[in-house]
Amino acid sequence: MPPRTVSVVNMKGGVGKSTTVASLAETLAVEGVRVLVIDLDPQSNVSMMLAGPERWVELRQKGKTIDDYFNQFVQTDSHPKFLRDCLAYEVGDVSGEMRLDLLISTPEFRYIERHALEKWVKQAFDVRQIGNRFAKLTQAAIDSVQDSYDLVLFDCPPGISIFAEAAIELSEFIVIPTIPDYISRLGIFSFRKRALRSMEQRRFTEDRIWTLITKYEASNTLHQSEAALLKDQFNVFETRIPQTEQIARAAEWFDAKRTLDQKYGEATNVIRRFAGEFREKVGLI
Amino acid sequence: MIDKTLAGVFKVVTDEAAANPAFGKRMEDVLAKFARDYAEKQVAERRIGDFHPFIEYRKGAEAFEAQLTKLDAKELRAIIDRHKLDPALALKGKVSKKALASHIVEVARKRSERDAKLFEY
Ligand SMILES: Nc1ncnc2c1ncn2[C@@H]1O[C@H](COP(=O)(O)OP(=O)(O)OP(=O)(O)O)[C@@H](O)[C@H]1O
Ligand SMILES: [Mg+2]
Repeated sequence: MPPRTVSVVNMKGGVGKSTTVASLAETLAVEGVRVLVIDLDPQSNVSMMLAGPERWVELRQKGKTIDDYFNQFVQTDSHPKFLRDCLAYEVGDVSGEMRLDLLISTPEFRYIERHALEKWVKQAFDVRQIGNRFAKLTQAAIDSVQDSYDLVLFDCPPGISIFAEAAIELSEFIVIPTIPDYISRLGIFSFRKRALRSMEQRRFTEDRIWTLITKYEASNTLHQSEAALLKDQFNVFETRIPQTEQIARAAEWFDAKRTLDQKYGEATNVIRRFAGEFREKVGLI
Repeated sequence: MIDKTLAGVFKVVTDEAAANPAFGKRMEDVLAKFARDYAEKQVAERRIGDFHPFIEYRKGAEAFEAQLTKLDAKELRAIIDRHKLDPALALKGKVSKKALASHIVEVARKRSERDAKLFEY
């Protein structure tokens, strides 16, 4: 069975997309799910979280990055590459036997999009077609490693880049992390519409788009109120990820392996509960 | 430093309360009123529970208005407080139950219409 493909995406920045990808990937991997994380964000946040800065530099020097992988399609002078040769294997700083691999991003990744636009627009492709082309190339890359994974998770950049669009186009499920406040909820309306259109084109239904409440402060009445509104209007995971110091600290790579509980502290059980719900929704049981 | 100062201040108050019955009575009244108001507010808050004006409004404006007429002024105030429905303090002072209810309906209606526009967008 080919892996489930899931995009974690929101037009709004700083809502916890990368944090969600990293913690979900680690939790599921500990539970025995074989996970591949693909970093589509030039900020490279999830790459740093899961590979650590030293390995990230090393991978970059070896040309094992998403930029190197896609370069072959946009630059004529580059060598053909396989996805499997660009991956970082066994990443994460959580202890235990697991299959958690990663395709890192770098700040240079933003040039791929520019080069692609320059080159393919000249060939009379429009932006949507370029997005679709990346979606097909990415899907083909996943197909080439499909026996190795149960789940492919995309960490999307904020805004809507061509790659974020491509990720939406090819993903079977979409997770939209959001802070339960007014401005964040506004962002969901238009963005969700975009995701819904993609699902409908593939004859998928709305139950493939799920909102995850993040940075939740249980005693904040605005958060309570907005969370209730979100639940009334959209598909929302029951589990809400709390705002905690330890989740923020977990973003920093640690050299010694630690258990999930040591890494996420009191929030670990909440994260596990979210992972459980996620598995149920995407059919990873 | 501050703890000693405060202890000194409170000692003046407790000494006065012991020595001066009129003062002691005034203190009791103030505290009793606070306790009463606080308890009533808590009861109202508990009774409105998870009642969410925007969600209820979306289920149907008329049913929503009917629900509000069943609530007393304290409960209506509790909804307004909890959801910050009166940030400009238009409802300051003594306001009728009816005025409180129609204020809630009005805010919910506007909010719902704004949200509907976003859905169309
Ligand atoms: N539940 C949480 N509790 C505390 N801090 C959090 C939580 N989730 C995320 N953060 C912190 O908030 C910041 C933004 O999180 P993150 O990078 O995951 O968001 P993002 O949506 O991926 O951002 P971007 O849009 O820039 O990609 C980070 O510093 C992160 O550590
Ligand atoms: Mg991010």
